[in-house]
Amino acid sequence: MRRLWQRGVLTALLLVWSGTSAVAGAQTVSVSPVQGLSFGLLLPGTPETVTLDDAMRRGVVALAGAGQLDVTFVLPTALLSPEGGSLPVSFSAVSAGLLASAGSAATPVNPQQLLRVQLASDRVLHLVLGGTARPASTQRAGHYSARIVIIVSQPGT
Amino acid sequence: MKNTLRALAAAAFLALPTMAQAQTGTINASADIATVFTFGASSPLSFGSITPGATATASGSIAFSRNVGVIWTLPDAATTGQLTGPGGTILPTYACGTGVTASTITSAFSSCTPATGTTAVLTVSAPTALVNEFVIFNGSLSAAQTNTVPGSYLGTIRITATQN
Repeated sequence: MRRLWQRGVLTALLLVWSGTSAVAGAQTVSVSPVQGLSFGLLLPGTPETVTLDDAMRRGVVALAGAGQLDVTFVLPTALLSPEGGSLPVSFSAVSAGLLASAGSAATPVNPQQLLRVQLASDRVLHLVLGGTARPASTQRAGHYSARIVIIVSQPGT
Repeated sequence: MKNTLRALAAAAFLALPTMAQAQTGTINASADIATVFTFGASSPLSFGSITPGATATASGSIAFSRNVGVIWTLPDAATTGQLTGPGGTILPTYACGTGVTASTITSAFSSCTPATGTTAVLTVSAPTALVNEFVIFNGSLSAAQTNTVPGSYLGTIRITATQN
């Protein structure tokens, strides 16, 4: 009798767990980096802006899944070199954008604010990011880089 | 069996908040600052018109900008800055080197007339920022050197900069 009860509880727990997985799975989104934001080769003292329609240099992240999502960008203020050099970068209120489909124009959004998006089922939404690099006239030659983090969560979690 | 049940129960309830957590993605931002390594305007070294038997001095320079290290060489070696004219050749005495202004040498070359054209007369490592400097040659002619056949005496000072 006791063993029967234990089996019942075990089965119930497994059902609850697999049910939870299914619900969570339906709302799961994937965040996939597609392309880094590349300012390219810059001259000291000459600012360079990567616009949202610059397909070769803008940063791209793919969001896949379904439902409403909150997206937050964690943006750097400077790119750093291995030697410790710092190259200032900035992002405006229209430095980010949403691409509903490949080849379409990006709808500008502010990467400095929380962004709420609605993902349609089985659709991939691309987030694109531009920005401006401002090398000083005394900027040292070399490679500079930084990480941009995109945090995606479901509203209320 | 009891322990297994407890573990499963714990796992089941722990799983709920874990699945609701935020997800993150990361992309890189990058830029490459170009190498600056270029000569600018030059100011010729001209002794002007000299009275035979008198001494003379002159200074010349060429601007240079770089944000990397440099190795300076003088490809004409022992004949660097030699003047040629109707009376033959004259090799002025030179002081040379680089400076932040065109008038004062702050880093002297080890020689202005090195034994070979590949001898490094000054080696400088990469600066922390863009450097605008001048290569300066200060020349002087002795009375004996100017006491020669009249006419124009011309020469060229060739300087090679190699990225270090």
